Amino acid sequence: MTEARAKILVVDDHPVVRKGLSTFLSNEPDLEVVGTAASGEEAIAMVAETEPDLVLMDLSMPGMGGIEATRRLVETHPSIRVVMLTSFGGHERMVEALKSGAVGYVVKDTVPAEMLRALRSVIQGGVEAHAEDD
Amino acid sequence: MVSDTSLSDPTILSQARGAAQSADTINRVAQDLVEVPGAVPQSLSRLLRTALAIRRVRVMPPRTSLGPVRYTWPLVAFVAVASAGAVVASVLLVRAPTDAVTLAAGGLTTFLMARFAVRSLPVQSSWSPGVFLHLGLSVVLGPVGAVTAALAETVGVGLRTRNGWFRMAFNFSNIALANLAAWAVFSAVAEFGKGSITAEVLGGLSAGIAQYMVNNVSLALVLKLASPGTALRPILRGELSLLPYSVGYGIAAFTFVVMHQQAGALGFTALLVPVILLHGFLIVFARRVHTYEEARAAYQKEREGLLQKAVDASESERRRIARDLHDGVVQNLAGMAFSLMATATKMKHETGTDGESELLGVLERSAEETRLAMKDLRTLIIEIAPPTLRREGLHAALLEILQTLKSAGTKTRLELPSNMRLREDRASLIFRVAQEVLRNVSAHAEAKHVSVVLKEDGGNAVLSIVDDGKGFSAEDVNRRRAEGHVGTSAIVELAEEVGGSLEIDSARGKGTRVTLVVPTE
Repeated sequence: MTEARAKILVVDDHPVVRKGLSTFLSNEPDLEVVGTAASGEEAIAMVAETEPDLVLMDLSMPGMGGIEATRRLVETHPSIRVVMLTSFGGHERMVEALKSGAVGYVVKDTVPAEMLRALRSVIQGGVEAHAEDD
Repeated sequence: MVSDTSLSDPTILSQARGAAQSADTINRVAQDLVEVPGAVPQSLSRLLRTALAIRRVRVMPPRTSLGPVRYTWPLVAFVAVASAGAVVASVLLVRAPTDAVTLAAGGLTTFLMARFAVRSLPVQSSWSPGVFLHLGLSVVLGPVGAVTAALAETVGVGLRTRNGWFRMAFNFSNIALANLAAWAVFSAVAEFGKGSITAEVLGGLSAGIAQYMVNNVSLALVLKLASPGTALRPILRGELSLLPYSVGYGIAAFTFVVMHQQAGALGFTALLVPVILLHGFLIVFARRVHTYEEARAAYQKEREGLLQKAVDASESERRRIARDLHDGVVQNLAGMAFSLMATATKMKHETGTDGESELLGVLERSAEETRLAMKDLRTLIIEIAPPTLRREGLHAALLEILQTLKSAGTKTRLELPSNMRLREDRASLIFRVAQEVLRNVSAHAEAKHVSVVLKEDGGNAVLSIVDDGKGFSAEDVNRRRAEGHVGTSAIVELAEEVGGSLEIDSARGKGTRVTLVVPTE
């Protein structure tokens, strides 16, 4: 009997990033990308539709940004886990993301294995995890 | 102080604004290649402009400013005695004028020249035609001319400078006694020489010197009494520069006597003409100097504004480039890295035969190189336009650039007051200097410890960066500059442009201390 794969929703306004991340994460046997969204508003709609276990949310998006979208998702779906995805580090932004309800924070140029480790840690409901650049 | 706003130059400002539309012209202005235009078109009538210029533009011999009066007993006593002496001498000596027309013409001219004196701004002028008139009236008309000239001068200066009754009293007594001394000396010498031309010339010379002595000694005394701590020698030395003029006026003063003897009031008045014309020329000259100075100040202000716009444009362009890189290339690289890694992983799972290992290796390496390229680009973007500086402030931005050193094993320390508020341009400058210095520390210093301290000190922000690295000598600096590394020179210039300073203290084997001081406003 195979173990259920964790469902992930990838949210990023850049199509190449969405495609790349989706393909990368889908290759993992324990992960399943159930959908992608290009904006915070779309993410909120897709969460209702796909009921993911984890949302990988880009921090900077036009319109409703990642932090506001996270805040709203956490309000409407308290059990959902959101990991922020960003191109830049920065202590203050990380703090802001965590205050909005995210449980993790990943930089896009993180070593892939480290990113997977962080996501799995979050999915297993462990402590807050973040992946800094090496 | 010259303050004629009707003489400001709108032409230069409009030309500079037009020039601001061209980046090339901005550069030329910044390098001082744009010429300041000459004469300025005015909308007011020439007569009105001249009147305004006469009213507001002044030239005076350099005098030590008396400043606010401290009414000490010796000072009050001196002025009282001098004033009383002048009044008594006037009462005793003054008789009805033998030539009322000459008296009126001379007195009126003296008053007008004192009322509308001309100040030469950039050059300290020691010339005043008023002294010539005083001598003329004194030697021609005697005590009545001397006292009239003193009164006219006192009232004219009083109206112009609003100097108060005390100074007016001193001025009258000083000038009256000086003029009376000139008359007395002239009369004695002329009589001794039996009224010959030579005697009159010598008399005039002596009168000029006598007037100078009484006037300046009295002035020096009153300055000393008003401010006992004042050194007399510099005052006297400064007044010495006026002696040649008094000698010249004195020699020329005999011409008043000759002309008056030959042609009465007409002769005396004829000599006033060149004096008035010269005074008028000075007014026009001073006005042009003032116009030039105002235009230059406006040009300088406009130039500084254009420089600031150039700097702002540069910052804006940097942010645009950083934004475009972040929104475009960085995201593409991120996506490609994930795609390549995904393809490699998939291939590893689906094949696994040795025949595919070379391609797998290529894919994995490509994924890693793409990831590292994205990382390098991210670092470059932070250097071009640090997002943290704008978004989160100087503290967070400095922490970010210290992170590179920290990652390399250097111990870092950052101290910055939490309540420190800086203008955006100052914060940006401090950040750029810290960025350049820490880049050098990272690349060359091999330091174990680096500390960055920012504090406020008397209206200045002071940034100190200290490392215990290997330091450098002046020869090292020259060598690097010759190799084209101008980063340090650039930050020194940046600091000096805002009125700040940058000092670098280093020696081989002894670490380096960099201190930046910039005014917070």
